Amino acid sequence: MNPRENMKMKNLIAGVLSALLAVPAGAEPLLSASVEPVFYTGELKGNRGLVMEYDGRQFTRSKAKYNWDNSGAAGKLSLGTGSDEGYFGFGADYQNTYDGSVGYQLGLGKAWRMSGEYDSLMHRQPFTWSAIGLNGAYYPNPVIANRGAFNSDFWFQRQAYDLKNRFTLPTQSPVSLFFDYWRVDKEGDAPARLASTPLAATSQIRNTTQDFAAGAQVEVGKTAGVDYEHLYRTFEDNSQLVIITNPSRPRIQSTQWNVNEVKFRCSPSPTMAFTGTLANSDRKNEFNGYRVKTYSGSLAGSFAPAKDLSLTARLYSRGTLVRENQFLTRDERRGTGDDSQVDKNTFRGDFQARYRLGPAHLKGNYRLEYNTRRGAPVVPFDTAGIYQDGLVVSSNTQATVMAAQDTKHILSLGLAYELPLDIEIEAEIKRLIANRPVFDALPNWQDTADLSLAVPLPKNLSLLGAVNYLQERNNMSNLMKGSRTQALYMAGLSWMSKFVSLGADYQHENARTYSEGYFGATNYVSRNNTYLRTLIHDPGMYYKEINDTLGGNVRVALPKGIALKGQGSFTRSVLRIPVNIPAAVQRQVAGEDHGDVTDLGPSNVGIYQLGFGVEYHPEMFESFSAKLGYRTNQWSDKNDSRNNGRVNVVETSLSAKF
Amino acid sequence: MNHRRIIEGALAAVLLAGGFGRALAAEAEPVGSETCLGCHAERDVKKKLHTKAMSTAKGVPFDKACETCHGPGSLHAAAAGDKSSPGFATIKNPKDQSAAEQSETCLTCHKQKNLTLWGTSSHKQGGLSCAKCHTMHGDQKKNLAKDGVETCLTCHKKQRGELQLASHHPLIEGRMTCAGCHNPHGGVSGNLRGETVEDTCFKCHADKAGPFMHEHPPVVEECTTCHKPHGSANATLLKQGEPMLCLRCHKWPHTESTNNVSAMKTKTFEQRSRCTDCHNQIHGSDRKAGLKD
Repeated sequence: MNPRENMKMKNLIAGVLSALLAVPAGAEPLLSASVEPVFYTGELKGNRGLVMEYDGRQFTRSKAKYNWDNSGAAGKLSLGTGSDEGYFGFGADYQNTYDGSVGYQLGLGKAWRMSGEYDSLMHRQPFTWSAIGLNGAYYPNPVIANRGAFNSDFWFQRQAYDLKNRFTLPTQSPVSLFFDYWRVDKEGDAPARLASTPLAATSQIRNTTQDFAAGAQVEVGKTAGVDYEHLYRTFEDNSQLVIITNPSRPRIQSTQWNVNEVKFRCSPSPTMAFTGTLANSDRKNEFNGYRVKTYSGSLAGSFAPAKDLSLTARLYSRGTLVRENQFLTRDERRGTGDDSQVDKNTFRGDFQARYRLGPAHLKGNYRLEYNTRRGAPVVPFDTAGIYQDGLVVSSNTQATVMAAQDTKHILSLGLAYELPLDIEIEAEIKRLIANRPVFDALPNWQDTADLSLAVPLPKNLSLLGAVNYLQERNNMSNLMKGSRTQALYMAGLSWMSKFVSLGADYQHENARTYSEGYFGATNYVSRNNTYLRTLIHDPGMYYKEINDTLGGNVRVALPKGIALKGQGSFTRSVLRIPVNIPAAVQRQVAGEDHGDVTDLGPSNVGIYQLGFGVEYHPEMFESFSAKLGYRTNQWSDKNDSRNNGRVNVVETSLSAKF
Repeated sequence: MNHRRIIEGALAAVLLAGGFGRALAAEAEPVGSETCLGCHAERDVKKKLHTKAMSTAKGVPFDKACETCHGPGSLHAAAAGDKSSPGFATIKNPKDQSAAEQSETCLTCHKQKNLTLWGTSSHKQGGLSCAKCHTMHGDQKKNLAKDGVETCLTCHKKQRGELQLASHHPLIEGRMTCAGCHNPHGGVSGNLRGETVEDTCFKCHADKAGPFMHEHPPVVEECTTCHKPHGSANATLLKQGEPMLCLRCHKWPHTESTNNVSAMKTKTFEQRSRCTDCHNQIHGSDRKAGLKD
């Protein structure tokens, strides 16, 4: 487009937008616009459920490569104008029927600001098989029906709406009023199994959450301010559980929240600041009559007594009360509802100091947290158990516990040091000590250590390396003593020159969680008045997780406005839950599987993503560009090929900016 | 005598230089944004929403847009790119300012309600300024220097690998940003949008909030008892795979009955190794105490 036609286009857009905003004739608005249509064609192999978890395009499994049915159009558009009287910004991003967003920002004079956004996302809920390790080999659950027999993919669409309005009153102490609306609709299906049938079923997702918020913000002088907000939230769930062999059951939930919150800030001097909040909330489930009320407050202050020293303190308190509906008899089997929910009180104090001493930055933090819980459940095992390894557990000596009270102390010390040649090293250690863990799965003791090194090298090259190590244990439980260790190693590289930019990062994580495994609680099975021959105790059960992630990107600028781009990522995760449940301790029944159970959750998955393309920015027409790209995504399950999927997509786009 | 004269001369030179510097600063005058764009055309400020909003919201016309933040530019413009000229450095460059000075410029106008707790926030205490994450000259949403996720991952490197794991919120797909759960300008509990972890999660996942007749205590306590919100190799963001996560608090209760004889059998483990296949109302239920439909 030549400059004269470019100016005609600008004037046309100016005319349209000026009409929208009633911009006075003669005012010269600031204009901008961009448009980018995209055309794509793709191919799907295998299962789309995992490889396209957040991609709403419906590539079919077709023999023909890149056929027209697997093609489509997408695009982006943005417009903007502004003058003394008002400004308007609009953006749209259409990806496919289910994925996209639209947003706008509007300002009129000094008084009114408004913004709105709509976003739609498809989230696939893939049907997968559980599996164990049997006689050392991967063995998926044979009972669950084939996905193919059950028909179709499972997915739901999430639509979000966000509207914000802000009015600034022209008073001497500026007062602003705001009215916000936010909404999320989720609609679709997810796979389900039921306790009463081995057959797979469909669990509907049909719910809506809405937030209505209104409030005021008052500036008190130049250094202080107060905000008040009232939030009213509703949640409605109208899903059905669709069961193939039984009538569907509704799953109804209707909840309302009312929240009031006051925040204040005050900076009496450049070296001092205070903030605080007061809030209460009331959440009621209209379906069952249960009600949760919370009351909370916080106060924080920071002070910098010297140029290189800053001190911060934060106090927080929160109380949660549950009003049970003790007369509720909706429960189908047990008569009445649970009349003893957990009321909780929390007190927390955080104290932090930061000090700079030449090239060293020191940081120290201490946190104290005190929790009390009324009605915390303790479920004792009131019968005895004799295990196959000789362990004898007497009655009422073990219980599943939620702590009625716990106190945590968390201390951390950190150091960042600037070495010569702009090298930076950072280290931090942290220790948590609790008088008891809240649950058996949580620690009463935890140590963490972090170390990182950033090294800038010649020729705009930089290297980064980091290590994180965690160790924790729960050695207080009367049921499940356990521990966890985790090591995380990271490395990164980046290089930038006049024509080439390159970045790569790698992360390796190795984690283990140890716990005792109790398979069976009591030898006496009350439901059929029988004696269980063997209870199994595995004192060395553990969970193992190894993750490797690798990512990289490169851009090469060639002459004549051409640029080559590439990017890719690779993730490999290996998970295991090794156990020792030999066949000898299990009862053998004719016609049923029988063997050594060696793993309770084996998994070995690789996720690959690779893309490359070319961009062309013509030197004579700087406002235009063209792109052509190829991308492939692959999900590879080494144990179960039914989960595998691969998508290849070719995309081409043009873009213009005015 | 000579020493005294040397000292007096040096003192006079210092005073003269300071006075001359002050005189320079006092003489700098606005030149208008078009002059700035004469050298800094790549900033393309005419097309930025921030420039348009300044005109409307604060009555700062485009001609004054640059110098409202960077100070009067006559001496800087007169230096014509000569860094050795005394006037060159009279312009306010965020790179040369302290974090507090950088933020002061922005906070003169920006007083949105999500900034109320900024004064005592961990980012501010850590020495971050507005310019560390934002730029008025960029094209990203919210005037971020990079897109929503890359801005945060510049410092929070550990989360980069977690976001790529099999189960993750749609951040790397560009359908969500860190600011969906976090308020980088400060919150009551760390930098979360809600007052607690549950308040943050229940906004989008209200179906898990209850209150239910039959609660699962870890849900009531904190979502991170079982979940890793940034990413996990296990389905549904669980910290460990099933049944390990559940067996850390519970004993495995299941036996199979054949001919009225209860026993542990291979079939027990085959069919029940994924607890939530049957306990599908694990976040709470109004129907049954076993947390299932």
